[in-house]
Amino acid sequence: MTVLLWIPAFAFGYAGFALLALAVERHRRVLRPASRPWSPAVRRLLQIGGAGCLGLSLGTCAAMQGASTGLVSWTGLLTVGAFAVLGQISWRTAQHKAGR
Amino acid sequence: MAEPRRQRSRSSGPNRAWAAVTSRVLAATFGGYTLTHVASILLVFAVPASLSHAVLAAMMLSFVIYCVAIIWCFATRSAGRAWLGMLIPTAVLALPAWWLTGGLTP
Amino acid sequence: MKGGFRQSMAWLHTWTGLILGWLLYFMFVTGTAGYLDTEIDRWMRPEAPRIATDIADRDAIERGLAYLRQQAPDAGKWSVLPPSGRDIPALLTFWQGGEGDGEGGRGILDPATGEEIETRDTGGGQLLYRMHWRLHYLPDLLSGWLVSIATMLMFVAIISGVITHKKIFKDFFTFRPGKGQRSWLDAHNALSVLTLPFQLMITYSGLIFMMFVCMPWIVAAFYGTSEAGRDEFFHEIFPEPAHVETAGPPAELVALDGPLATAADRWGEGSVRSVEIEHPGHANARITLHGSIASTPLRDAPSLTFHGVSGALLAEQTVGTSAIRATRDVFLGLHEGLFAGPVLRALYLLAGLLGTGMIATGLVLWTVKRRQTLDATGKGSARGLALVERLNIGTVVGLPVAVAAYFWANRLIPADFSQRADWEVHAMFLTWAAMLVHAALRPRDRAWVEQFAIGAAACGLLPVVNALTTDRDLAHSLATGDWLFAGFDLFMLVTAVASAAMAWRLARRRAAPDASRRGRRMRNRPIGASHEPAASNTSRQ
Repeated sequence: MTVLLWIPAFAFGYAGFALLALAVERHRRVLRPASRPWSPAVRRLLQIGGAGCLGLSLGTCAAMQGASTGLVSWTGLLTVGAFAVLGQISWRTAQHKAGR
Repeated sequence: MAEPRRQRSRSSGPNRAWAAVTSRVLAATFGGYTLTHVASILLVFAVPASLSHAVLAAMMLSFVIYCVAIIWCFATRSAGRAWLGMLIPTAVLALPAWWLTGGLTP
Repeated sequence: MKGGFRQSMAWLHTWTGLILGWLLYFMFVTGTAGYLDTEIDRWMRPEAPRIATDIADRDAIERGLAYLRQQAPDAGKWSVLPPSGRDIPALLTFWQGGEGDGEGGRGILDPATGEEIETRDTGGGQLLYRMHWRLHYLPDLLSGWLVSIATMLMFVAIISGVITHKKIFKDFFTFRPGKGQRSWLDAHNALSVLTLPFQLMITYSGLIFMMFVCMPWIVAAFYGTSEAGRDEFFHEIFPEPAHVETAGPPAELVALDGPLATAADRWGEGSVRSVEIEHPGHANARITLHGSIASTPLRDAPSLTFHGVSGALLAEQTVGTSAIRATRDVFLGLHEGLFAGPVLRALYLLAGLLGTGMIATGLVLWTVKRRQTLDATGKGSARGLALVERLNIGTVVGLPVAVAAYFWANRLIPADFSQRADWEVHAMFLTWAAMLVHAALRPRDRAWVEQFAIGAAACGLLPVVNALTTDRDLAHSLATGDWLFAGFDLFMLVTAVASAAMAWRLARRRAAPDASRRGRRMRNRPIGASHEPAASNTSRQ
């Protein structure tokens, strides 16, 4: 049953990196082109939210497998989540350019 | 591709450049290895554990020391300074290391 | 000063990465395959029967001992490992030579019957994994030093890479395709930074694996250089309690029930992972039961040592008594990943593959950068660049093709050929050599296309070869829910498609050359042909 916890663990990791990416102006322009640049306060909030999500991912992994194995699994999920966001940004950038 | 800083020399032809790089490589590889060993041997005395475990701890840390030594050899201003950076600490640390280990056991 | 430091670290990163880059690529390919070592073993022994997973440890161990009593009654040491998940898929027995007999041996048994599992002789996935640190054909000491040096170079490459990557946070999610050198750098950065915890861990733990080989004089300073001194050190680190050198007069080995019951008491049912018996059948026999090293990253297990004739408990070792030992054990445990369940194992595999990509993109980036400089300004060593370019093709694509050849050989070499295990390996290295020769002789851009095409054929046809030489073809595997064989075939097909796609893309790019690239025709000459551009500065060699 606890093996299903992989899903929220990954989801938190992905969300965390997505929020951190959105806090970067260059990436916001691609991911949320319709929006206006965030204020520093909003950016700070995104960064805290992103870090928080990454922490929740770690917590989920630890709950699933114990602290030591959970930590290892978490670093693996971070890689997958980061690549997912990177891929998304690359794809959106290509679409953006093509759309012009 | 940028190279490690070379000292200003009167005739800095390409052979001079490669000699300097080779010198740094030798300093890092062999000088660094020697420094790492001397430092690690001294480190054994700083670890609060039985001798065998202290040796184990020092061995595990030795690679960090070696890495720092190698980085120094290529970051420092000249090949000469690279060698000095290896030889002087080695000499300084070798004396207490030798004394504490009672000379190298046969 | 800061600019100078970053620049010198860029230089250091480039050269430490390049010097043994192809060896590191080999280590990453075989190491990544190592995370599926027992799965590959099973694929390479298709005639092996399905092993029942519900045999009680006690029964399996008894059958293992019965086998050893028959096969090696005079051995100095017996080992029995009952089946345990994916790490130990069958009943394993080993013996080491006793008095007057230096030989050792092993038997892979069916735990239900205690009979040897008769399969073709093959090194399997274990041999492929072992090449990761014991390079084939080379004497152990030389291989140990090469691997140690390569690992140390990689460690320096990682540290210098991090130092020199000024925009490591800013460019965290950056990948700009279609921009030549910039794209290769982005790819190399992404593959390295997004897997950085794994790369750091795998490299430093690799150094710790090799430290007895490459830092021996730290031990020698305290224990001397003699064999006896080294033994003393190792016995203090890895104590063997109640160990006795001499075997003593013949005596009957006690039944294992008592010791197994004690172990079940302390550790719970089914936790005995291995049974070691020293001097079986003699007065000084010792029975040691070990717990599992695969339960946590700590990679350490408790043990109980019993007197082999009386059955009395002589010694017990628990886990985590020494923080320093534990540190080493955790490093090794993280490296090997024995504790990883299926999802985590998949993550390990992914990290290994991405790391392999990190090395490949680094090697290619090195050539792309210098090719651009050479074409634009004529500066740089044309021969050195050509050498690296060809080694890249023959290794980045050629080595995986060689691994596919290992699998082809496993299916095609007749089962009764006495040296088939050796020749499976020869096939792998001969293929790698052939790919390197091909890379040297063909025009460079065409060589990439052709090698990817060969790779597509080598992987794509492997399921066909499998279907023709065994009865475990893809249709059968899917029908019977045999996920190992089905997964292997599907993985090969996916790899084949990816490889074919690469070949097609590169071929299309060749057909429509970028006119702004000067000297393109010159680049396509095979190695050995004159490379002197018109205005060349041959001052550097």
